[in-house]
Amino acid sequence: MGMNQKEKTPFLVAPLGKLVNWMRANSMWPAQFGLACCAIEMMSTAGSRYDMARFGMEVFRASPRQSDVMIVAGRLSQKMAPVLKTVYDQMLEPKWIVAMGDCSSTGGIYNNYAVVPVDRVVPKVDVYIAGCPPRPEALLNGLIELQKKVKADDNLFGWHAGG
Amino acid sequence: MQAVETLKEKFSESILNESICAGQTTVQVKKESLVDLLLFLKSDFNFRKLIDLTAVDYIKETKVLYWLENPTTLERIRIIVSVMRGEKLPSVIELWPGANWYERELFDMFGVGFLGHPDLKRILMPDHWVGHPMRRDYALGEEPVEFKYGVKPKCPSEIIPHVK
Amino acid sequence: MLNDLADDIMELNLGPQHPSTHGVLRLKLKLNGEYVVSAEPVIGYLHTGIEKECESRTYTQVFTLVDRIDYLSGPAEEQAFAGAVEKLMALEVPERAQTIRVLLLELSRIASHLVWVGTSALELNMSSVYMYAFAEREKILDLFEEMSGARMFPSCWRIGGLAYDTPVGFEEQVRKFLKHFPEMWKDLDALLTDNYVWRTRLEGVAIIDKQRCEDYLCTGPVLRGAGVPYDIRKVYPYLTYKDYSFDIPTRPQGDAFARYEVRMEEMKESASLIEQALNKLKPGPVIVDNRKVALPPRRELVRSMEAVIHQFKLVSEGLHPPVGDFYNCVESSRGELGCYVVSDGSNKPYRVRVRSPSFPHVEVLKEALVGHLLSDVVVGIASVDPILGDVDR
Repeated sequence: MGMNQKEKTPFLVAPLGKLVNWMRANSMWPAQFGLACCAIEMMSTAGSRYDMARFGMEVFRASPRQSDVMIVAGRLSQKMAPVLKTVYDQMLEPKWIVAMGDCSSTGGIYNNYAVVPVDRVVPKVDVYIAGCPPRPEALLNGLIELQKKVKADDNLFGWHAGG
Repeated sequence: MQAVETLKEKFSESILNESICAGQTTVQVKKESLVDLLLFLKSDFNFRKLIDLTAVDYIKETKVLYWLENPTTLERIRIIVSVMRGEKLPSVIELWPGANWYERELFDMFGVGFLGHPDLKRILMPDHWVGHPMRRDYALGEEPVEFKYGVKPKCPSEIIPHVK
Repeated sequence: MLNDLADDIMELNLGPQHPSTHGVLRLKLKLNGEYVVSAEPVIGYLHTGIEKECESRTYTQVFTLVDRIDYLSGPAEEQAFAGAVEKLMALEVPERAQTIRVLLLELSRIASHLVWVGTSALELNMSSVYMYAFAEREKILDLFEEMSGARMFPSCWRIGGLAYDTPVGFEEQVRKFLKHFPEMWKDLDALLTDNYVWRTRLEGVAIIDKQRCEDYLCTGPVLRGAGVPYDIRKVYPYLTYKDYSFDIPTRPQGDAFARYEVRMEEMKESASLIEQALNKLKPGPVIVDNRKVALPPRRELVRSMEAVIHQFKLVSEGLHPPVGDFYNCVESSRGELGCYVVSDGSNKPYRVRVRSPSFPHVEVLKEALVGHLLSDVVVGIASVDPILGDVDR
């Protein structure tokens, strides 16, 4: 078939590509990686007021091998960074990663020896969500952006991380 | 406080000074008689509860602080011990088994060694970490941040400088 | 050879990322079949160096850092730090500020216990309790947002009082919340307290009795669940707690169910405290009048040159407490929260130490979980209510 990974989806199977993207975007299962205060806002988002289930994301899987997206909610310390890398490597492709909150995106209000931003551990972060902690509406906005990114993906046969 | 008077009689050569500041009684002792003094306070004067065990670093020496409470009369007393860099303190694990993790934290953050501790290893930092972060001469590890586009990046703690 | 297999010990790592929702705690378990032979907690996976960071921030900037240590009771942390510095500077906080502080503290206590009930029930697969508890908590977060603009961390404490007064209509909204809270409490109670599954899973698990509490420095609901009526609000009263009437719930058994009952009763007591605080609110200033400590009101800046200079000095440099140190303790939803501040006379603190209540509670698990089944381990961790931000700082 000539599997060049940067190839665009061939013309004849483009509707199939759109269908696959639509299915992937509307039923993403997050891997539980709540670390600190942002995890509490993530739990509030999964609650009944800001319902994450209407986007298909209420099924928080504990095992990374059964999940699609990892929402890193909270500050990443020096001891936890190798754990994040191990868990991220265990996720099956296609997979996405969302850095929720200021601490995981950039280090946040902690500018010291102990906090590591997520993009130094993982090859590429898909969505950054700002806020300390971000409101549940901001988290939902970030997840909708991720859905838009997935639906716009035009590389059906050769998905790989970092591209 | 009656306990302090009795301490001054019994351990007179170990007590360096005692003071009362804003209602909090403090006794500074030498490290050799630390465990005997704490055992005496615990058994004879009913200071059964240890509230906190922490340290403050003044570059050449480290002051380790113990807060004790008497649950019946609700009095609190503070014991201060001064340790030079590189010296070790006796451990109080026999008196309070819960002090295990507090002493490990002091070892990890300040580099204070404890004699008689069963398992003195790092608790908050990774095992391979070099250095003791809470010491005053350990750098914070800040990175300069470009707060405004086009303006030279600066470290947050220098924006409001330290003023005596 | 088969006899040796019967005594085989299996090592299981309940790793930092795990289904239990209580944060990044790692437990190294040694199991004989399903029974736990030894449990060693490993912490440090959320260490952020907050105490060191506080040494390079001014006193007003420290409030945002210290807020996020125990991220479910931000007001309690702010009160611990503010109380220490106010005692050091011998400041007299105005009465209206103290009453509003008590109100916010008790609201955050109810919010924190609701999160505890919701997540503990979620771990035992009772997700409707989780939905009810978080829906009730949203009302409290709305009140915080009315007051200060932020849902979880109302950083409105300042040295000497509060940054601003309550907005118009705040008291009516709190009364509306209080009117409906008892029904929601009864709903949670009806779902859990006489529930056969909940009782069987919680009774007899992770017994922490009085002697173990003393050995391991436990405080708060863990100590009150062991039968000791010790509450910092009664024993060393701070703010205006002397003038309020409330009970201290205790239970003698010391197991997980006792701690659950203590926390449910505390929610009721907090609701009654909020009602008393609302009745005590009187108009007045919300921050101390000392220009070296508190910013001048905006309308004075137009008229007076000294006000402008004081504002400039306070914002660009900060306040200077006298040389000294003080340890201030506060009753947070987890236990005794203490803040020890050492000042060397400059505009940044020399050392800020936060005595966290959850640190010894996680340590006591290494004794309390021995001999239980593997499924009791999750219940045991949940019942002492650890917050890993507090443990690791």
